[in-house]
Amino acid sequence: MNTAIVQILSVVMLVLLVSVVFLNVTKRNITAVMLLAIQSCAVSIAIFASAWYEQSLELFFAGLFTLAIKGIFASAFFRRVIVKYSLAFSGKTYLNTPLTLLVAAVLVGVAYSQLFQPWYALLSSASVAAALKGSLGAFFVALLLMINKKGALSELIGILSLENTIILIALLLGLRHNLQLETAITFDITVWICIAAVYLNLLYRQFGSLDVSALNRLKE
Amino acid sequence: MLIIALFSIPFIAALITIVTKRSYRLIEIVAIIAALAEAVLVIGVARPVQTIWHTTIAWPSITSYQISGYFSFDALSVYIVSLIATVIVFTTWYAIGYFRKEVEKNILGFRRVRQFYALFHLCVMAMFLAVSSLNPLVFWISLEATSLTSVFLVSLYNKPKSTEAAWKYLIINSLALLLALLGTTLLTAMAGTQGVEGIVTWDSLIGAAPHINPLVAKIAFVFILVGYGTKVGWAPLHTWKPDAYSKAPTPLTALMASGFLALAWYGMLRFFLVGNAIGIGDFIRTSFLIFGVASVVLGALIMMVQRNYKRFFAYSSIEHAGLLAIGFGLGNVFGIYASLLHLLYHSLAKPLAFFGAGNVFLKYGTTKLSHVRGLVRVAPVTAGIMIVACVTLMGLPPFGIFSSELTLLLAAFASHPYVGAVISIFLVLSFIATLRMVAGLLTGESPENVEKGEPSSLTLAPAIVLGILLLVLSVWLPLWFPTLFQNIILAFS
Repeated sequence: MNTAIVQILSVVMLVLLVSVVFLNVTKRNITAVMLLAIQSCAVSIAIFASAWYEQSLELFFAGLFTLAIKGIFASAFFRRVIVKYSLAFSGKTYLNTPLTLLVAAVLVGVAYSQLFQPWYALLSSASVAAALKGSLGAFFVALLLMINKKGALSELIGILSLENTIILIALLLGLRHNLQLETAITFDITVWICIAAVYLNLLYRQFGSLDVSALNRLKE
Repeated sequence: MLIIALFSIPFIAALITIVTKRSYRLIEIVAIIAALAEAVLVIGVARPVQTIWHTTIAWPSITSYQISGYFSFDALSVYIVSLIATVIVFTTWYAIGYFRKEVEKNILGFRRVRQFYALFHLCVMAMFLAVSSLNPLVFWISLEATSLTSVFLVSLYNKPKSTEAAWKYLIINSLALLLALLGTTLLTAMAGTQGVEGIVTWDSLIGAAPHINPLVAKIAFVFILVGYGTKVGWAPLHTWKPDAYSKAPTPLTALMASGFLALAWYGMLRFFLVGNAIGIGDFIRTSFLIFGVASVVLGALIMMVQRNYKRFFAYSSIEHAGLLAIGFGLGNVFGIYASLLHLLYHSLAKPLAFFGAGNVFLKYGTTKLSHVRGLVRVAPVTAGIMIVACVTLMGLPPFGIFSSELTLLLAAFASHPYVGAVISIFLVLSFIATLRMVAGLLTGESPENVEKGEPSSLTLAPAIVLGILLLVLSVWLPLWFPTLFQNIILAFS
């Protein structure tokens, strides 16, 4: 892989890692949505860079889809929900902020540990391996976001962040799909966002909040 | 051509359903014609594959009916698609009677019924795409599509509890499938480093397997096992299952308990084949045993204290998903045979159980076990359906689960006696739990507000025919199945 591309992907990895860590500690929903938009745009840049390097029109379209769906559509939609239901804050977490940061640090440490060493050893260069370690760390921290936060919106942002990290991992591993596959995956994500959007509205209307700890009526 | 037709029919049926205005009959006719046509097409795609078995046993690279390198059928996919198509026919038939009753009671209106059938057809299309897919990523996309199309069906009644169930179903399944996607990405990337170019297929993964580092593959398989294991519903990854099963309309629950389970298990088996070729078969088998035993233990224990009959059958599904895993985890031919046989009988018995449960719900209007009494006197045919379903799930002869569980136990005692001992104990517990549950339903004084009589002949007929089919296949298994099993076992041994 070209050094310039690896550098771009490494910067995107940093953006992703920092954004998911901040997503874990931020209490403002608007900030969370903004962080999602930033990381989705960063991932789109990574795809565009790979498209340019590979001279692949298919990858270019994949980047365009990602930017349109996750960077613009999803963020705009979540913003609308926040304004519509006056959901300025979503501070509830199972762990407090220092503990959350500690767990996030441990998870990033796991990604850098010997556990995944056989995998990193297969990669073409040390810089790709370093970027991959960071991406896997971002994946684990995004998982923490989904488990730790009690807000439905945070769960959705967590899932989209996980998808972003998987895209970056696939790029770093040099995995290429064709246009049909990319379109199918993007279509899947678009439908998923639309469905999740409907359920955000339904949850608010039926439960009066987006706090998922209120979803406890099915314990029989 | 047949494969294209297999994908097109549910899609066209969904389109017709969407544009239909105020005609219940048209929607029902379209649904039943589509289900029957799909079944005929599945027979059509199975026949040439079967011819190949008898001549060359060229498994797994059977390429008849292939479309652009993406879709094809072999022994394993033919087995799964046959089970799915059978369940779809019965589920559609049952849905007609079930929704007519719900419309009659003003529980649902035309828009909701139309929504059910349209999404049901799209879900069926996604299932066919998944099972015939040669590409692990297309399989993943299709499996995700089954979740996306069914999530609105889980919350069809638009009540807080069903919304809660649907939300949990959406989030847990999406998260699980993302973990599976990461595992698939790692695995396909490794195949890419071994010179596999273009579209990565199950076969090309197996071809590249000898060159894939087993340690690296284990990392990928951890994600795959947890991801697809959640979709199968193994303990402790099962949490979405009781909620979704108890709140979804009964026809969907029947499809989920048999078709969805078979499909997710199919994906797991595909990856198992790849893992075997890489040389980490023991690691996967051990994982199957751990998840399998955990599911049997947890399923049986919760069945003992369960107070809701739909949730009861959900935990029974978890238990049986565990048995499927144990069969392959044992690593011997008898275990695999038992697991394949068990999948067949469970795929027929569980819809039967849910059809019975649906009829009980139509009669009593509740899923709480304490409120359902005297079913024998209130609705004797429904009571008979529940007896047949429960006797089958308890593993009593002459029904097929008796032979599959017996074979599984013998295989377990032969190679893993401790596993055999543990599952024996918990199968006895689940037997007692099922007996207690069904005895409670059948006996006692029925509530005064419940009128005597069956809910509807249309909800009885599919259950009776399915019960007869289950009985016939229990005592006489056509040669088609052993030949099919032989070909599948060959690939795994």
